[in-house]
Order: sequence, then structure tokens, then C-alpha cells
Amino acid sequence: MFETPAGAESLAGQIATHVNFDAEAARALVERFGIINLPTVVVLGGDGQEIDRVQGYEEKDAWLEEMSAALRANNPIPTLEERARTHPDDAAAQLELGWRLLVRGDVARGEVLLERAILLDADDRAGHASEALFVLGRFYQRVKLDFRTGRNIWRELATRYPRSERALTALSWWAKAEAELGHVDLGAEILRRAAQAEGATPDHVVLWASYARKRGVDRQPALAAVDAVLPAATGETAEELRELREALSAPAASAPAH
Amino acid sequence: MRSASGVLALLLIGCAGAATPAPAEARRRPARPRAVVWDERPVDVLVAEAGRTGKRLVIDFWAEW
Repeated sequence: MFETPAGAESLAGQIATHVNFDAEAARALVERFGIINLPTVVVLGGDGQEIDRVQGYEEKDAWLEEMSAALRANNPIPTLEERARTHPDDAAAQLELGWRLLVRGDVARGEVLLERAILLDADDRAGHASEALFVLGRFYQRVKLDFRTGRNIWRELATRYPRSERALTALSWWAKAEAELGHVDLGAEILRRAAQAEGATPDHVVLWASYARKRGVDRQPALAAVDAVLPAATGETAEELRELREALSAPAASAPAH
Repeated sequence: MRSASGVLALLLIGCAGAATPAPAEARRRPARPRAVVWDERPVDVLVAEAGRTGKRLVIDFWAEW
């Protein structure tokens, strides 16, 4: 977004730097600033303290507006602290303060607040419980590279809130964590069972087939599943399924990416 | 997201047609958008500079997809 004139103009008068998340040299900064989403733009004040951050990107105007607000913002933590204190049963208040403290390095307090958000919205009616688990999962897996803790969090999210809009992503991260722990076949089994379960959608098959292609396991059964759901699939899902069909039909690479 | 060649292209665009317009012309024309000039110095150096200048420091974490 910063390559566009509007994006570049949004930084006028500020000091700006960029960090490639995947570069080895970036690890310390990723951990220092708790980067749980990509892309993330962190805004710091002159004292080096974080003021705000803009996470993700969906639409240009909304992003520019958020960026502009972040550059003008004051540190929201005091207001959020007060709100969480005066509204102890408000899951949203606990969640908002919790994730901000977590990514700023106050892991102990952040975790307690996120756990409280899960307790207060236990049936995930408002989506706060699944979001809190999502934040914790990304923090441990993406920031801390703690795949065992990440795996446990993703498993809880996927199995406890299977109808959550984050359940599909949780399955993907769960399988990825198992692969990182050396359990590549178990990762495939997680996605295979999800794709074959009652209520599974073509997107579940996309997940399984993508994993099969990347990790070099389950190629034939995943290809059969793609063939089974492709006729009824539409839009981007159909496009992805066609691409996966082609990749899985080709001879397997000699050295799968485990 | 972005590539080295994309950044290079932006730099080239930024350098093209650098003739300075006459003052009256400059007043009529809107400011020309510029590509971001990233400061590649270490983050702690930039934090210190933000402290000295009162500016904000923006760090863009990105990844190739």
C-alpha cells in the first residue's frame, strides 16, 4: 500500500522504515513488537513506546483512514485500562486491552485478560472467545515460534468453536504446527478428517489439498476429494481447486517440503 | 506484495521529469506524490531520532505472499 501515492503521502513528515517479516534478521523485531498479523504497521512515539498499529489490509480507503488515525492517535492503553476496570464483565473490553498488552510484551497480563474474554463469551456468541484464542495462537506460533503451545490453542479453537469464522484458519495453523513438530502425517490427518466430516465445505478440501501439495502427503486421496467437490464449487474456491487439481495430478516432487 | 523491481520502478518514477516548474506553475499544480523513502538505519537509531525530532516512527512489517 505504501507504494501507492496515497500510501506514500500518508507517511509525510514521519520517520518510516520497513521490515521483511521472513528475513532472518527480522526475528528480533518481530518478537519485540509482537507481530501477530501481516501486514502490520506499528506507530511509535518519540519515547519509543507503541502508540497504535494497523493490522491487515482489505480495502484501500479503510486502510488509509486507519493509518491516518493511528498517526494522530494517543496511546490508547490508559483509556482501555479504565474501560476494562470499570466493565469487568465486558468481554470486548478485556479482549481489546488483552491483545494490545500481549503484543507490547506484557504477556502475563495480556493472557489473563484474553482468558477472561474467553470465559465471558464462553459460547462465542459475540465472537470474542474465538478471537481471543486466535490472538493467542498467532502470538505463540508466529511470534514465539512455540508450536506445541500454538498447536494446543488451534486445536481448542477448531474443536470448541467449529462454526466460528476463524475455525477454518485454526485448522490450517493446527496442521502447520503439527508439521513443524515433525508430525506431518498427523497434520494431514487433521485436515483429511475435517474435509470428510459432516458439514465440511469445499474450503476444507482446499486446505487439505494445499497441505497435501506442500508437504507431499495424501496426494491421491486429496486429489479425489478435489474432483468430488469441484463441480459444485464457485468463485475463488473453484479457482483454487482447479489449480490444486493440476498440481496434484502432476508427478510428485522428489523432495517434499516437510 | 512488493518486489525489489517494484521498488526500483517507483524510484525511477520518482526521478523522472525532475525539471523545476516556475513558481506560478508550481502553485497551480497539486504536489506531486512521492514514493516512500524508507530509512534503513537500525530501529533503535530511528527511535532516538523520533525522540529528538518529535516525529513519529512508522515500522511497516510486510511479507511476500
